[in-house]
Amino acid sequence: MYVLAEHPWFLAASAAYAAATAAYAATWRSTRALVARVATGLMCAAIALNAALIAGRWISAERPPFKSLFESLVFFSFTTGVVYLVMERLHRTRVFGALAALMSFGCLAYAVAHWDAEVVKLPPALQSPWFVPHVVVYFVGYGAMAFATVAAALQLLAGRSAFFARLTRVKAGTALTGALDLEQVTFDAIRFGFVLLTFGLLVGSVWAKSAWGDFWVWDPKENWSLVTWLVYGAYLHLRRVKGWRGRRAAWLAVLGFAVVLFTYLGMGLLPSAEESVHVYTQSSQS
Amino acid sequence: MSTNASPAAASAVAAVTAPPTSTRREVRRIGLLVGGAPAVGALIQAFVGPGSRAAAATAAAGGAVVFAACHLAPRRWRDTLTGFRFTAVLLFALAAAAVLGTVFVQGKPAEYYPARYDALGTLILALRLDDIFHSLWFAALLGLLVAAVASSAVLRFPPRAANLGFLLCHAGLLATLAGAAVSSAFAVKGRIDLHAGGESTSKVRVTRNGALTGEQAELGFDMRLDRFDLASHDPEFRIAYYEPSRSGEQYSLRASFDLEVGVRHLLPHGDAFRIARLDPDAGGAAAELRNPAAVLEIRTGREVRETPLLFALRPGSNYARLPNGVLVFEKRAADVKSFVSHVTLTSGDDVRQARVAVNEPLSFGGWTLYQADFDPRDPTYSGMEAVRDPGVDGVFVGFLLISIGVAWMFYGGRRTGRLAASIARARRGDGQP
Repeated sequence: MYVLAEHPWFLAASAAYAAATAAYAATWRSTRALVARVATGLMCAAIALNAALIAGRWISAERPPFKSLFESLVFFSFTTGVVYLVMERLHRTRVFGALAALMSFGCLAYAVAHWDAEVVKLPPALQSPWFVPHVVVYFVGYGAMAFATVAAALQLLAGRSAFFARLTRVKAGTALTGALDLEQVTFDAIRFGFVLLTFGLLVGSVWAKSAWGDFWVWDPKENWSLVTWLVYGAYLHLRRVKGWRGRRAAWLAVLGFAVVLFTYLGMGLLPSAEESVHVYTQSSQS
Repeated sequence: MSTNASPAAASAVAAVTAPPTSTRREVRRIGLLVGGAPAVGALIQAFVGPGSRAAAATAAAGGAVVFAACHLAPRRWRDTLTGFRFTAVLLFALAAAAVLGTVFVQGKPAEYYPARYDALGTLILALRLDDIFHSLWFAALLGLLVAAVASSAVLRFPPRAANLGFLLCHAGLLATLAGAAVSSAFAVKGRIDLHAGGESTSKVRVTRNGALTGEQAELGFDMRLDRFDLASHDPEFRIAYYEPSRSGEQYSLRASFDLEVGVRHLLPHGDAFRIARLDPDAGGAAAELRNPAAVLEIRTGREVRETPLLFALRPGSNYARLPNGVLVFEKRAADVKSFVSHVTLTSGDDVRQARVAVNEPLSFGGWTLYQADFDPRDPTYSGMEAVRDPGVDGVFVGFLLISIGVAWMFYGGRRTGRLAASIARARRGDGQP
């Protein structure tokens, strides 16, 4: 915990996400406008603090802060929060707020466990104009998929629990004005995320060509990025197949995000990880 | 269903819950295609040697055969091939193959697999799971994808605004796969090793999967390395905190701090320190004499003490012990910032001077040159990759079409209006967005 004491702004951002989680959870019970506004306000504050962490790191490291696992987790926390806020505005509901804020908080908590002992320099291969667009597009896409998973999880829970079923109909935090079609919400988020994953995959491929001369070398990380894209591609196709809506589609959305998480964090578990040039090491990523 | 239901009732329920016959037949056709294609590929590869060209030819020929067969066969086959269910199953099959390619280490010598995987190693080699992405069974799956994508695109021709995104995306996929097949079959990649001021070269040492093949390819021009610039980041001095491993034999870096005088830093286990005094030029102001020195004020529990002068470049006098670790004043190795080759390329009367850097390849005479390596012990050495890739334009065009197509498919024209309307309905409180 000395890390949090040494880095008070990190502690503040984490605390703001935790408070936002609690406040959004309160909107599940309360219909008071004040509770709803406090929840959104806390989320905005958390995101602002998170942005400040990213900007501070960018300035102190004198490079985009997307190199190490720690840095990417801080950014993932930010994109998850921002995507949620946009969706809250679009869908006029705070039902997903508690889980979304919890995800952002979880990213920061996991980042603490993978704190960089030292800020490292950017190797020549990462000094590319493609670096920032590739990472930003991917992590906004991941944020969208995280949101889709929250909606899909609520859809699954609503089928099993009266409490969660009620959530999709109540005026949670006064924001919700009608019954939510959770499947449509999930689909909207996934198709948005899928467009970004497509751009991210292609930008990464073009970057690889300009850096190493190959679009694609079947590296484990590349393969799993492709698997992510294929699974979500299958989701989008199966939506048009009779019998593949409802719980099946929701489970597929959850599976998609499980693949995202494995692609992001699980590469070190693969026997082929040692062959990869993309797998996160203790404090580095390419 | 209850366990004591009558057989008649049970069969009635089964009839209701079972998929309709047409669906069952479609599932059977999908199974035949997605299971049969790799099986045929596996059979062919028993007689055909491995390689990029064989894989590209299998994918192209397989795609053409399936496309033609499904359009000549009764219509239900074409409907299956262009159906969403088939595409989804095929995407899952491709995903499974991609996963397999990360579960088994790829591209190692044949003796590696029995040594690592015992009896399974022989099976891995027999099924070409050691090089999945150049195997013919995987190529056959890609051929199936080509046939499905082409059939789906043909169905939607001529394009209308409503299906323009779909068409562009699928045309992009075809262009990308075609470009990749051409690259895979005909691209030449190799190494060029040069020394600044040394001899020029007009040859490339050909590589395959990163290993030299012993062959050489003609560049078609002469290439000389005039200068090689190897730049490093400025070396840094830092205060680093290490803790011992459980065995106590190794120390690992836990935290590292800039040289900021007076700033208090917390350490694990409740300890803290600050730099009380810092002399950046101890030893002499000249760069070669520079040996920064610092005095640290360390707080452990209630005890506060000052260390003697710690010299960053004097081993044995550059650290202070703490109850749980050690603070070390040390110099970081200078990381490489960039490496750039300045070359002269000569092709007949055409003489061109240019630079090649990481992420800044140089195209000349049909080849693209990439900066790949340097040798820290030999500042005149530059290692470059040379690639001649006739499929690159197809892949780039494909990427562009996919990007436009996917964006148009989900957000273009009518669909954007539909999304806006659904959000507006949700805001009005009409229930279903």
